[in-house]
Amino acid sequence: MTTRPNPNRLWLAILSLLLSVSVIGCTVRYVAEYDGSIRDEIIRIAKTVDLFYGQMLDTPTAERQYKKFKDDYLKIETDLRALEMRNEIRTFNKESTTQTKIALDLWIDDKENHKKDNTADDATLKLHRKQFARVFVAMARGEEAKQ
Amino acid sequence: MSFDINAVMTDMGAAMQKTLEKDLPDIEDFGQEILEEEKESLELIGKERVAGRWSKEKFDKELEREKKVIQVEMLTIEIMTKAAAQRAVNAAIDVFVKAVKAALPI
Repeated sequence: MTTRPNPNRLWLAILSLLLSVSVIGCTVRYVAEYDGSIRDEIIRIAKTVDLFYGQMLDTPTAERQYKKFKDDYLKIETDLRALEMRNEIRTFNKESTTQTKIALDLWIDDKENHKKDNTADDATLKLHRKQFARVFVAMARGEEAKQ
Repeated sequence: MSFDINAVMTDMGAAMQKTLEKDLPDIEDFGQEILEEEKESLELIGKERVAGRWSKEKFDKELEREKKVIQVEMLTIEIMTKAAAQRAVNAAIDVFVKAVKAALPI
């Protein structure tokens, strides 16, 4: 007497075979994996930028010549470029990469304006200090959301 | 154990809903924070222009910068939304895989 295979069992056997092959990769990914060191680096740069504006605001307007702040502009620009590179090499990470590019654009814009005007008014400094705080908070929140 | 696709689909939906219920308020809160921060910045920009301390050119330039800041914040909303969707879909897939494993004839 021949036994006919149970269709349900046959279906499950096929499915189990498929699952045994794909179960490890059986998740979807829309954003990059969380990287705590990137978050820490964002916070570190944010502190440096905040200190930079604090020091400039603490300097009398007439003494805010570009050359006094040139080195700090370049150091922070380098930090932002390095962060941009770290973000760019990660997969599923185009939003964070764009965020860093925008932060870099804003920074370079500040540097070029200061170079051109050779001074900066209090209102501009306060506004830009706040803008960068918002940018870095957004970047850090974005990284944390990937957890 | 039998494999009931209707029951599994119900469980998958519940798993997705559970993760989304946890994630969506965070996105909403951040959206609210963005509006509050923006209000402060626009107030400063408006006051400087109205007081005549900033030229029209300077005013326009600062508004352009604000647009970039908002773009950065919106990108965070995008990341948060994608991450929430990722967690929800993975939670549902996990339910499905576990249901199938439990029904395997071993």
